Amino acid sequence: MRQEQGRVCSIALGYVGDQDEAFDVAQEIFVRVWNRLATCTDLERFGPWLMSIARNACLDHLRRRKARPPRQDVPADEMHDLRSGGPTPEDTWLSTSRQRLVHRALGNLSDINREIILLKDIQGLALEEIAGMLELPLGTVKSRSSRARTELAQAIVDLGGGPDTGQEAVS
Amino acid sequence: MNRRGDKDRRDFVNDVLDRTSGSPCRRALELLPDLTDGALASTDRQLVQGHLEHCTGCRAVAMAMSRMGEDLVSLAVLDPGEAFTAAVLARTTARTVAAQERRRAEVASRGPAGLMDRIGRWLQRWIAAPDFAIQAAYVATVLIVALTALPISPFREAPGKMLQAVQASPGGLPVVGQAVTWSTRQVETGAAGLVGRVRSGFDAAWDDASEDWRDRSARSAADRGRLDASLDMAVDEFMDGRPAAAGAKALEAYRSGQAAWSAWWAAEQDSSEAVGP
Repeated sequence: MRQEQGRVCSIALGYVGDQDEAFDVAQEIFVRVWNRLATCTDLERFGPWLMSIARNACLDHLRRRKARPPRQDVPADEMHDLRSGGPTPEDTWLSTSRQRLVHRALGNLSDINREIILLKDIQGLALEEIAGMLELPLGTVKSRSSRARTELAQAIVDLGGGPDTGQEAVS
Repeated sequence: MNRRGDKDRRDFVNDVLDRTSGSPCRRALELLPDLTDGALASTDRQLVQGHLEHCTGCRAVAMAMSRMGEDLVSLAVLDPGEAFTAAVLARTTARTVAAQERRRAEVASRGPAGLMDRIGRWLQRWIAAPDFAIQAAYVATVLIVALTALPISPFREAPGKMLQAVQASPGGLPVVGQAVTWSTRQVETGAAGLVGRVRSGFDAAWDDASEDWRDRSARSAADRGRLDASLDMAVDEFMDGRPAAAGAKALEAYRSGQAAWSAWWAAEQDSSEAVGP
């Protein structure tokens, strides 16, 4: 569990967007994994199996969140008072300005494009595995992946991550 | 031959038009992922690179894309902190315990194993009861008195002999041996007679109790019948939506119950008076 918890938390954050909720969902994911461990007979397939459980748990959470009212009604301009002084795990995680920029840009993508970036470019799943998980044709996943990367790069530029940030040009 | 040459020319023109018509930026952005991955054919690569040299917007996107790969990989792991593992373990442990309880309940509802499980849980509750220690001490006292203090007790001389042994210690140790030998002999020779006496006494007590029970049942039968009838009517009235009538019947049932109770205990009072001085 210790080996996979960082990855699972990252996936959960990628789907739900809020760190506290992501940790709650990650707990739920591990409880589901514990309950269904007997169904994972091929250890080599553990990674995609875990990823599939994580994705389903995140989607269930998002469905429940849609169905219920917001958890808090504190005005947005007072929210900063609720934060503690020290760095949160998310702050530590997004340790560089580049990472923060990419994280924000991911938030601007459509759900399907963000999901494909999350599974392929962040978690490193193969296109075939993603196609199986999303129940989409391989060609569709491939074209969507290209489109998602272009959309993300465009979003990064729109947020100020252009050439003046010291990036190297494509050769 | 000319036809084939015409077709080749048409294909070439269409191919060039496909690659160069429409918005050049849109076309370049479509091909950027393959360019970044080094998977673009040389003709397309030259076209896109030529476009990037002159289009600052597409060049910025290309730069962002070439750099974001390593940024995305660095987001693959988010450390949730030490408390996370403990929280998950607490939840899975709680579920395991709940699952064991469910399995136990399933077993409890099936066959002889279920019967044994129910008996086990009943004993567990009984032993865990707060007054179990008092009850056990009471039973132990009764047993000791029955074995040593009554005229028919098989070990009635044992306390005196043990006391002698203690008072004569250490020179009186042989007395202890005598006491043990005597007790053993008493058990060997007197156990059969004791069992017979206990059994006959129990049978007689059982007969008396059965007869007394029948007497009490007969005395209170009429009132108990009225109690049952009143209760049935009270339930019927209530189910028919007449709570006031149901209340009246319940009151009747209460009075019948009181009468049955009095009749039951009157039997004992009569018999007590009969055997009294």
